[in-house]
Amino acid sequence: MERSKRERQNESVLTPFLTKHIGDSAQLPEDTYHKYCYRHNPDVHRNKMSEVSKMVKIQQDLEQLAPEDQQAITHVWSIFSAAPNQYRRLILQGILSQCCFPTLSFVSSEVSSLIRIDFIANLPVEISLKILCYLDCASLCNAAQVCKKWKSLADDDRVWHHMCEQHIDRKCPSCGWGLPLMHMKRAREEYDQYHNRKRKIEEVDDDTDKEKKKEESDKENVAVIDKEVKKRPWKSVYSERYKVEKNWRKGLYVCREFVGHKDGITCLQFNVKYLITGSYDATIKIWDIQTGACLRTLAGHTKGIRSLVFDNQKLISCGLDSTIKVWNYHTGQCVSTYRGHEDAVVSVDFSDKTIVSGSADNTVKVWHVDSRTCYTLRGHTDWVNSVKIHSQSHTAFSASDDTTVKMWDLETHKCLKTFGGVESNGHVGQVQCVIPFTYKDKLINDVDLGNISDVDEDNDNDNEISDGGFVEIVTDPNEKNYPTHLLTSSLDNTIKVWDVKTGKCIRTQFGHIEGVWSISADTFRIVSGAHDRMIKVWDLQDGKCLHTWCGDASVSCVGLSDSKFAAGCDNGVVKLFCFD
Amino acid sequence: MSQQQPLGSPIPFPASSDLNGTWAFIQPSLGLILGSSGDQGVTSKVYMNCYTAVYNYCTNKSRNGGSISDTGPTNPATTNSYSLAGSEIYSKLEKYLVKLITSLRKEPNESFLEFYVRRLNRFTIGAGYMNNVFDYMNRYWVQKERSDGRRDIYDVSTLCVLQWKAQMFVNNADRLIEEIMDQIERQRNNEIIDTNLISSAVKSLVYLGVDTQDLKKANLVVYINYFEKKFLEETAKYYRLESNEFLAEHNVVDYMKKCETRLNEEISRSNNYLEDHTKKALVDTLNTVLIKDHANEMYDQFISLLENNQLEHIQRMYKLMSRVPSTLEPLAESLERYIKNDAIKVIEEIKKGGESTNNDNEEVAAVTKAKKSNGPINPKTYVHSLISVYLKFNDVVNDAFEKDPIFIRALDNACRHFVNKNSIALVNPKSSSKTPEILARYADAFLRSSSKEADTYDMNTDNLMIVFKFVEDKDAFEENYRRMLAKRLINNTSKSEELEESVIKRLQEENSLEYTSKMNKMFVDMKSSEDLKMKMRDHLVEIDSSLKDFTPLILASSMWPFSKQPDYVVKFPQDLQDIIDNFTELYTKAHTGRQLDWLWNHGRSEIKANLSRKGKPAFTFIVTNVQLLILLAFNDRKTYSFSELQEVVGCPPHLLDNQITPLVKYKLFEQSPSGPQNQNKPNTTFTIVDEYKSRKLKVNFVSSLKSEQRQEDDEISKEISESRQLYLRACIVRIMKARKTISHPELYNEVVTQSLSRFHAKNTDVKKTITLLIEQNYMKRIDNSIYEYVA
Amino acid sequence: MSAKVVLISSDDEKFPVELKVAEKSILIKNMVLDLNPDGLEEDFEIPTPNVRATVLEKVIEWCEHHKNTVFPDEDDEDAKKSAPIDEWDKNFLKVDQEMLYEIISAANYLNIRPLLDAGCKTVAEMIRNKSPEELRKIFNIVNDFTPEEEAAIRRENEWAEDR
Repeated sequence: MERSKRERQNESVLTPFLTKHIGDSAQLPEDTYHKYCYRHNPDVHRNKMSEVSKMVKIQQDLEQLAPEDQQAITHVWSIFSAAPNQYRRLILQGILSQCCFPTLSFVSSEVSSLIRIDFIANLPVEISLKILCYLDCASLCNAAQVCKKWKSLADDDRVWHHMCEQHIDRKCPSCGWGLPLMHMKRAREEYDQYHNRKRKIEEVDDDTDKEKKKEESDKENVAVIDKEVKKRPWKSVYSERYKVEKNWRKGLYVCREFVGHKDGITCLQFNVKYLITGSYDATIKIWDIQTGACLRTLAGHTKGIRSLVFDNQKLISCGLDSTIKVWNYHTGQCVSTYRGHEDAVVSVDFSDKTIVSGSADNTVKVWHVDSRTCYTLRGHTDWVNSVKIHSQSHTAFSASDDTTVKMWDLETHKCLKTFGGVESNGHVGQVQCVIPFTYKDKLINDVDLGNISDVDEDNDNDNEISDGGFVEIVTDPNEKNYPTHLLTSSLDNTIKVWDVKTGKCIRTQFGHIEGVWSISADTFRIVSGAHDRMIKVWDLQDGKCLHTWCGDASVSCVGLSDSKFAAGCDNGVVKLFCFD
Repeated sequence: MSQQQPLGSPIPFPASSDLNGTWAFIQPSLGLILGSSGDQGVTSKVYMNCYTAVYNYCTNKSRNGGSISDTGPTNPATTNSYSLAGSEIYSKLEKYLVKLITSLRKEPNESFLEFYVRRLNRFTIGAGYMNNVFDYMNRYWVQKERSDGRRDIYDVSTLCVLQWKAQMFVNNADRLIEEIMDQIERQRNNEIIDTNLISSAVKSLVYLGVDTQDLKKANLVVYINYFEKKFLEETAKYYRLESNEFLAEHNVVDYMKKCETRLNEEISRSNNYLEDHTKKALVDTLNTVLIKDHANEMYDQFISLLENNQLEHIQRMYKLMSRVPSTLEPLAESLERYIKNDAIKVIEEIKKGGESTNNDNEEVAAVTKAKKSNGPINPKTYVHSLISVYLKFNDVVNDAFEKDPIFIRALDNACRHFVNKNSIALVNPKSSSKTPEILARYADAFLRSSSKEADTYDMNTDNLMIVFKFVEDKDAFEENYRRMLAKRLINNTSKSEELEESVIKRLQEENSLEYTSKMNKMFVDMKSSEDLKMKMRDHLVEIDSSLKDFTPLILASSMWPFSKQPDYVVKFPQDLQDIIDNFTELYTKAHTGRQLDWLWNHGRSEIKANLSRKGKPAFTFIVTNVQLLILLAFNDRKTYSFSELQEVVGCPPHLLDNQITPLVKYKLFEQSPSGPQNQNKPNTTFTIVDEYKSRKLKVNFVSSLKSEQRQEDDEISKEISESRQLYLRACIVRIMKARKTISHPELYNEVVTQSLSRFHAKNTDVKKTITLLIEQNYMKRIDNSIYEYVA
Repeated sequence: MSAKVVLISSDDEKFPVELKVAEKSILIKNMVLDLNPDGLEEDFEIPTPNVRATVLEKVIEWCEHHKNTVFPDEDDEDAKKSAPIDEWDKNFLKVDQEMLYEIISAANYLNIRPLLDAGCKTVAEMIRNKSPEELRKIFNIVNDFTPEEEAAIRRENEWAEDR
């Protein structure tokens, strides 16, 4: 009697309550996202497995109780479910205030395990992409493996385009990685050839989708990396370079040898197609870089060749016979010869229609091809071992056995600066090689490492010294695009970094045991070859030696590109280290 | 799903996936926002509802429907990324805008212009709201589309503008512009119109000029093409008509006044509603039409204004014309011509003798005498007339022309012309101007102590300088002035030393130090002579106590314009000769290397003559040296014959004759036989009177000597031309040395420029000098007209 | 007394805020400017139908805290992406995922860029350096790949592993 009364009472309470609130359609927007919360939204794919098991357990527990208790509990649940939001809150607050701490702890752990929202899938696309843009590439790749939706978003071009912008050819400020540019402007056949080879390596994959996609992109044009890539997804662009960089960091390479010269190699240069080497045996050999075959040998110098440079059209070499020769290396003909130096010409460089050469007669000569004039720059007191032209500022740099490096203006033919001497922390041995470059970001120098006490610094307000001194070169519009820094290597076993504006050496890199004959550098790395048969790769920004390899003979010349470097030795062999 | 409920009760939001529902939901609100249905206020609720609906639609679409290669204008195979929602809404919006704009109708009782402005204002405000309501779409979808390269997708506000332009403006542009023009014309006709209307309409044109390439730039293309061109045309037409009509009925002065008012009006109007871009063009057009086209009429009027000296009107004319600088030149020329003519008239008056600023009889007499004999012109009259012309027009230039350099130049040119080349100065065209000489005489007149105060009260240094500035042959002036100065100095007839010095200083300032160097030296000489005299006197007293008062003036011969006349020989009596000898000895001892030449033709002596009546004091005669000797001779005897006198005095006969004349004239001597023709006969005797009658105690026998004026004139011109020759030679050699080779015209120009401060070099003179130099091997001629310097 | 802006949540709760605080939301800023071109004279009510009261409260709290902060230029991508989360924001966003989700949605809706950035960075932190399985667990995601697909995708993304 009492029970039914109670039941009826309950019912009487319950029913009107139920009827009232169930019919009460709140003025919410009709779409699922506003009508339903996340949990109940039919459109959201959640992992309901855990809930299902929970419900099963609840069912089981309920069944173990007495029927009246079951009813009571079910009533409570119905009331609660019928109640609108504010009432529910009220009910809950009351319940919670009754709970003791263990119960509260139970509530807390249940809640935290229940509230899990798939952000990426449920936020609007633009926001999801925004979130993904903040990730690093490893996390992105992980995200791509989670589920289909995540994959489609994580592989989105916009995200990877942003990643490419952040990393390629510059050091990413957050993760510190810089990816090589790996110039994409290749002829179509070459690209296909290269790509075919890559595909062969990945033949193990039977993912037909991927192959098809690559085929498609093969057929379309190849775009330059900084324009909007029309066909090829940015992710694959990124991954390609990433792999190369990883190989660089790990030191994973494939080595190829070029044998053919009869005497020590003195100079080399390579591009995507060719490797060209010069040697004491008075010949210049042109090799195919992929196959390793010697395509052509250029003879013409009467004595050993000391230096060469080439671009798409011509090759310029100089040697101990005091001449400079210009060749068309496609045909093998020597186009012209420049005589004028009184002693061996040790180094040569060219830009547009200007050739600069350094010689054992202590002079640097500037040859203007069009006007057929030659200017002699005097100032060095010993052999000029290396000359480099910096075309943007119309200057040339020369390194000499007199331990100094001089900077010359190619228009006025005057010496602008001399880098050397003890007070600027200069070389104490013959300087073999000089490379001018422009570096805009932070370049870690010796001040922070506590090696020099007096170095000019312009401290940015944001950076503290502990970060690595900020050597900022203010771009003065009058300053004609001078390079910001110089790299030099010398027989005193060091490699030095100079600040062009102040003329002081800001970093010295030690590590070689015998004289450093040659260095080559790009945006990220320096590679050096020395008399101690070692080849070292250094990080450009902080000057740390990343790898060391040992060769068979003294390394006299090195060359560096995005994914390879070459070292020529005194035993006439050139070794090509490929990191791709 | 399209439930159109009144705004009071809550409307359920449409499903986010339902495009049509969403659109139907927001459409009435759009209507409200854009103001097509009766200008009801937009509440925040409406705003938010719209925004929310758009937001929901966009986000929902991208949540669910978005996938790679979504339907859309982009190529499916080419995108590797998600496309966002929005294109449907965008196209619906576009269509809606088109419909809305084309459905706007004007009220029956308002003009098209009013309708347009009203509607556009509302639309613009609405477009702003729209932009914000569709902000979500703008933020994401539009940006993405644009960066993907679809430049025909715009953010909503730009879309609105473009649609308005395409639908409403382009079709009705002509009508609109016409109405605007009409309004402006009415305002010009002094009707009252609503200026706000015009300014809003014009501003709206700027607003419509959106550059689709660069959305941030304001673009005046629409404004310029549609409005500005027409506006300038209409303006030109209107004013051309008005100015022609007006000039036909009124005179130029009134016309100018009207111009001013019109110009001011237009400028204030343009500030109200024209863009800066047009303002300049407008002013130019107005200037051309109002001023330039009627310049000739104004020139004609100008002459009469000058004659009547109506400075105010001249100034007005000047102000108007200075807006169009090219019209000022002819005006200046006209002024110059007028001044020259005026000057000619004045000169004629002088010649006729009609102008006289002084009532003194002597002055008139002098002028009439000049008229009669065509003799020398009174310097004062001449100079003052010239000055009066100058001053009169200087006032005109200063007041009416506000010291505009063009007009100052015209005045200077004219003055220079008439000062040097008027009919008085140039007796015949080839001779050199007489102005410098006259001017020097003018200066002499007021610096001389013997001039009467009454004559000279308005002659002063300022007047002198005014004319001096314009004189071309300044070296002629210098020559003349210096000679007169020399005479004044040695005869001690200058009024005040300070005055002399101040004149010289002014000359020096005006020209150059070099110019006045000789004159300065003369002063120095005088002073040093004084010192010397004191020294010598002390010295000589020791030697000879019975010294007469002897004041030698030691002058540097190069500075002073005196030359030794070789036949001016006199014999001094012993006591005087002793003094002279002593002095000479002393001087040459003191200054070895210098040579003293006594110039007896200059110099004065004072002699006391006891020829007066008893009881009266003795006379003092002022005489020349020769006269002195003559009189001294009469100390011994009372009578001399001419030839005896000649022997005693020791001078040539003609000289004696000359010197005796005043003595006879003033009845100091008795001549027998009398009569001037007998004066120089050898046997004519002269007897000194016992008692001399004269009113004054001091009698001057010097001033009535006939001065050898003509001789002196010749001397002067010879001096001048010689010094000019020298100067030209030096000048040319200097130029050649610097330039090495030079062509004839260039050389001539250089020479003229360099000698400008002294005189005007004539081509013939220069040519003569060049020939001379070539002969003397300073330079040689290559080709026809190139010269080369020979070191 | 300057006029206030009254924000009304979707469940009709009213939150008066100062104009300066509310203007952190570009949406509200533009709307106030549009509808009250002469300035705010009296309290201005703005309904925000997509934002619940609790979320709105949190958002207002954030705006209040940052009412005087000047945020750097919005278009400078580099600075935005590499700058770390502000400390206070980090703590502020230590909420359960539901609240975080709603805050991000609300920030997107109301166009409060800095808050949106902070929220996104927070989520990015949650994703960073976790394996796919961990990610599924954290966000309660169903793995809808077939085993073959999964293996293929894994190989595809292998290059990024093991730095």
